[in-house]
Amino acid sequence: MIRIFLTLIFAISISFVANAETETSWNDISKAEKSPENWVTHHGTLDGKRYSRLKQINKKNVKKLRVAFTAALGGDRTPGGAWWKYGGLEGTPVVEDGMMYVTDGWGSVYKFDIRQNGKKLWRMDPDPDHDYAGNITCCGVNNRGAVLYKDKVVSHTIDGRLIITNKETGEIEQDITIADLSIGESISAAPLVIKGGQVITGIAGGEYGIRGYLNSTNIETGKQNWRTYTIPAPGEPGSETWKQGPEAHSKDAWLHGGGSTWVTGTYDEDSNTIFWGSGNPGPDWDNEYRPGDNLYSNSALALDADTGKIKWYFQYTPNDPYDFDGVNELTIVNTKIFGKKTKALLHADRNGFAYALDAESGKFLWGTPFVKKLDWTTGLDKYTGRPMSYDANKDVQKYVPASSSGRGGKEGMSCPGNMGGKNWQPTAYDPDRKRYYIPVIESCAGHVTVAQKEAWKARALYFGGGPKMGPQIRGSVASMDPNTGKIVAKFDMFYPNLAGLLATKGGLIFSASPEGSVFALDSDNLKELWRFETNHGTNAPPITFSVDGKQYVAILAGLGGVWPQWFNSTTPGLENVESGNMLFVFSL
Amino acid sequence: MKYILFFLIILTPINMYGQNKSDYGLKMFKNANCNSCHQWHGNGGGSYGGAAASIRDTGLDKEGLKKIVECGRPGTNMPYFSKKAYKDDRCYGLKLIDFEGEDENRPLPARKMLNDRQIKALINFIMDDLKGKPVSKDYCLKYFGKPTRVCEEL
Repeated sequence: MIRIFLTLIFAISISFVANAETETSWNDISKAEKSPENWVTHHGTLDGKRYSRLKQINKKNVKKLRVAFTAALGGDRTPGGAWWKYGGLEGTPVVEDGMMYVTDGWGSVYKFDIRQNGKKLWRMDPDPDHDYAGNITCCGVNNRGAVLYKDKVVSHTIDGRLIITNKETGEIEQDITIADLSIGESISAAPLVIKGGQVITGIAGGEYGIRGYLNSTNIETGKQNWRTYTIPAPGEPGSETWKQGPEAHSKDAWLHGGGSTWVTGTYDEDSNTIFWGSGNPGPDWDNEYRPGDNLYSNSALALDADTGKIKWYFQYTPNDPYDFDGVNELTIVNTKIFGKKTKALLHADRNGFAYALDAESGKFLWGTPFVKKLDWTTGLDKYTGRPMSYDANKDVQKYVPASSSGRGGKEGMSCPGNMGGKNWQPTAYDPDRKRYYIPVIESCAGHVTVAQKEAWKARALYFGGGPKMGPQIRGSVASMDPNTGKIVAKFDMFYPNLAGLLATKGGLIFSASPEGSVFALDSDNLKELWRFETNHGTNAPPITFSVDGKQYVAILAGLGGVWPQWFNSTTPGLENVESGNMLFVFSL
Repeated sequence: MKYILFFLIILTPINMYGQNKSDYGLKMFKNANCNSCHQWHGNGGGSYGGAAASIRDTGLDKEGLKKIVECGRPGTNMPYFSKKAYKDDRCYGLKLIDFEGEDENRPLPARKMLNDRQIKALINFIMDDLKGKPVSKDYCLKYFGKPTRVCEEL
């Protein structure tokens, strides 16, 4: 009898352990830095550092890095909408216990077994409406990745859904509609899962006149916890920054004011605060249509995670005439700023300035250009962080007049151009070296305004103008000292950095260039140490993980998005690079 | 009867799958990326391609359109699609070297060049399906090649 009882106990405990191994606990997510063998949340850790403590691959041996295996995603390269020839690959893979989950542009999730050299175990196809969704994606058919929670894979689709998939079987457990395609909303950002099983969703659609928001969903019930709009309604604080323009219909500009949230934010468990960036106001180029600062567009937002209430904001480019989304991630760091220990947020903006903000109050600490050429403002006010060329007596900003366009045919040329500075491609932060690394687009571009004479129309482009191609666009990787905000090193790239960065304890920065080179730099001086030519156009961030004690580096290769569609003439030669649809995994 | 059946069998595949010149022109419209800026409907407007003109409202005739497609419009985002542009005299008598040091006005090369036959088909498509015509549901269905929710809203 005792033997039977003990056997039963043993069987139950084995089953519990097996089950626990396949579950991603809150501890696995919130303390992800302690399990560098895995990469379970979008930015690696909830604070957005994209830093791994793995050091098997290091400065001394990185030259020996070789392809471990590759895997073709196959699947969803279907054209869609009126523009796109295929979906691109912009996703950050996630890895847990030797299993990798990646997404393609349409939102399919693929599970690969690393121990079996990338054998595909399943593909979840959410079957999106290609034409209807593809027709309202300003910037490509993109999906930036899935994340893990308990026994689930959590992902989005371009047609506005949150999909909960069973990790083991690949079966869809929940299919929840978040965004409304009929008014131009879509989703490209990876989800952020925070304490209590809340899934935070950011939406895209700023170029179609959406009103941006963040949405919180209870992962167990599929019900909405809260939704917070980034553009205030009349009467709410900030609504006074949306004044009427020359057209009568511009009185409703706030309702189509943009402020989208299409880059995954960060989360601070101690203060239970979500930090998220908001995108450009709409219509993008016609700022005369929307006089005022246009809060809370182009802003850092701190939200109470339980209620979605905005605790504070900091706006980078008020009344933006350049399409300078402020949507990029806010990395949470504990470091000295001007010698004082501070919990700060680091942010590299499309407008070419990197910022340090106080994480508790949003107070501006420093702002420094990270691009080689910046001419739309003469600088930032050192106390407030406001652009010095901002005119407090005017509702419509011209900044440095030659840099912006306007109604009546005036064209402008700004550096950086509308693509940035830096775009969605993620930064990395090395807490040991105390260095902030930025993937840079060294650009200038022209601007043309087309007055928004017609009222907003659902699913119609709402640009109020557009960019005009300027000189050749190049790229770089920048290294900054967060204590002072000074650039300490730069690595020049022939093409813009459209991939993003990964920092490791091995003293390495990994990245890729759009013509398909994956490379590693020395974290201390940004000297190149290793390079591999995939010859697949690449615009996705690398990650690292380990399985059975062996460290790997992985990256998706599949150039899509805005660049091959419109910006080839500023990056000559890139038109000859074919876009693949591949996963590359490297090891020693 | 035998002969009628024979002709039906022979002709059916041609009718079903044969492409007329306008279909080939639509294919060029897509392949050459025209839809990126002028949009699928040809009305243009603001986008990341810039502020594109409406092809439906164009006042240009066939020759004028040919010139714009071959040579682009220097000083705007409209690229040139002829490999010979700015190499021989076809484009306003100018050569690429004439634009050196003028980044703002340099002619922009298209991602994909078109040959004379393809340019002719594209111009025919513009004349037959776009110029002077409103956007119709029939055009939408032709563009997408199948019923979609996009066309339902027209």
